[in-house]
Amino acid sequence: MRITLTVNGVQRTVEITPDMRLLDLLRERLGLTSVKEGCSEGECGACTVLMDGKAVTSCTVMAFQAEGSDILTVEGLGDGKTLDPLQQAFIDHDAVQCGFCTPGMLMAAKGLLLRTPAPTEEEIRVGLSGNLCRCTGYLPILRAVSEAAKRGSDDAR
Amino acid sequence: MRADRPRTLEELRRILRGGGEELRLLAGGTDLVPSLRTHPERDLHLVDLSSLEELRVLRIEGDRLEIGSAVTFDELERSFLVRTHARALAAAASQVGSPQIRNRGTLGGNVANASPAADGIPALCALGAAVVIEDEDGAEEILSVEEALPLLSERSVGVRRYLRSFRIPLRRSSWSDFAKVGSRRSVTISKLNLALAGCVEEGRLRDPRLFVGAVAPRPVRALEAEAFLASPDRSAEARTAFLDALTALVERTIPARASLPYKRRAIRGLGDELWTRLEEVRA
Repeated sequence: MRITLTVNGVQRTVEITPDMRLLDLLRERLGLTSVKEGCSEGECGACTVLMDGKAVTSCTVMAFQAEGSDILTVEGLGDGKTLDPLQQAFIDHDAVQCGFCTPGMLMAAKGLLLRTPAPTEEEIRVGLSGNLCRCTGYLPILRAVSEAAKRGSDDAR
Repeated sequence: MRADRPRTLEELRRILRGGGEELRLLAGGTDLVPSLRTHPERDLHLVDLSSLEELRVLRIEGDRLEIGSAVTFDELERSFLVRTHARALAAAASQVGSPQIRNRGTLGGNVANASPAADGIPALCALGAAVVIEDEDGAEEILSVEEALPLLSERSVGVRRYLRSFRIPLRRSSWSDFAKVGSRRSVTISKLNLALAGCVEEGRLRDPRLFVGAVAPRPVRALEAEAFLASPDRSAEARTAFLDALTALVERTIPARASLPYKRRAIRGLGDELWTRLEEVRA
């Protein structure tokens, strides 16, 4: 079967099979390997992408359900020259260690900031509650998201 | 495997009429999609409900709140109408899984999947909700959620029917709430949950409906404990008697289960939480 969807701002028409998940479509068909497969059951958040502006675990969405939707992955976060403020803040705060959870963390954080541009620490914790990290102990990630939000609101001024 | 994505209810019904035993209705997919991976031998015909606008309504209709079956937990949690008229459901929705799961998981999927640990189901039971079930010809059957649950958990609703919406009666001075406990503070599956609804008038809770979830295949109504909630007696003794009634219910329901020593105590924590919150509105 064939579906059309927008991925990182570009409209794509792709051939899929009915048993394919959004995760498989993004990784295997479109080569977007920032999308990581961790637990395969919506627990770890490593496969998080934005679907129509909302964070979803792409391992729990069937590819055919994404027809007509707007998907954003880490590959579409920056503009190719400059990083998204979130990416820069993750670097600045050493919020990356092994890196496996990082794309999912970034996309969960992006989903949070799109809806809540100036989140409280509690809101950041809730926003990232669906993403597991075994390296950092989370604190550098929380600081990075907080800083990115701050930079975002400074930019808006 | 086959997959269809109907855009209208008419299209859905046409697919249902032509489908067989292998039909599986798919909404948010947060339960079904992982299970497809663990059972690759099943050759299913998936029908996606998540884009059907008719199943996504959320509005007041006369004397009830109408919630389409494909409304997500995130939408329930944020809805002013749900927070105002069905606070227990908004509270339950806000505690389901992670933000990613709440962005996709639907109330209809929660009920159709009929997990004993579902958070939405005890809230719907407490609120006295009805579910509208439609068949392939569009004929509707309206059952209370309590009546529908045995059919859903035994998968005897039938393969050619779908949940259309939930109806929550609007009542004057209604109040409801929800509490749960799992193995960690958030993103957790309920080990036990408690949903309460009623009307608070002149400092008293009238017509309470209290349901304990995750203690049996379906939520259990706590009639004896309800009596203490309805009573004007709000003393420390009444509170203890209320908690004792909850413990007794757990002991009666799971007398031989390994989780009994935990749950008979944990239910007191949840009961205490709801009693305290009720005190705030009764005051």
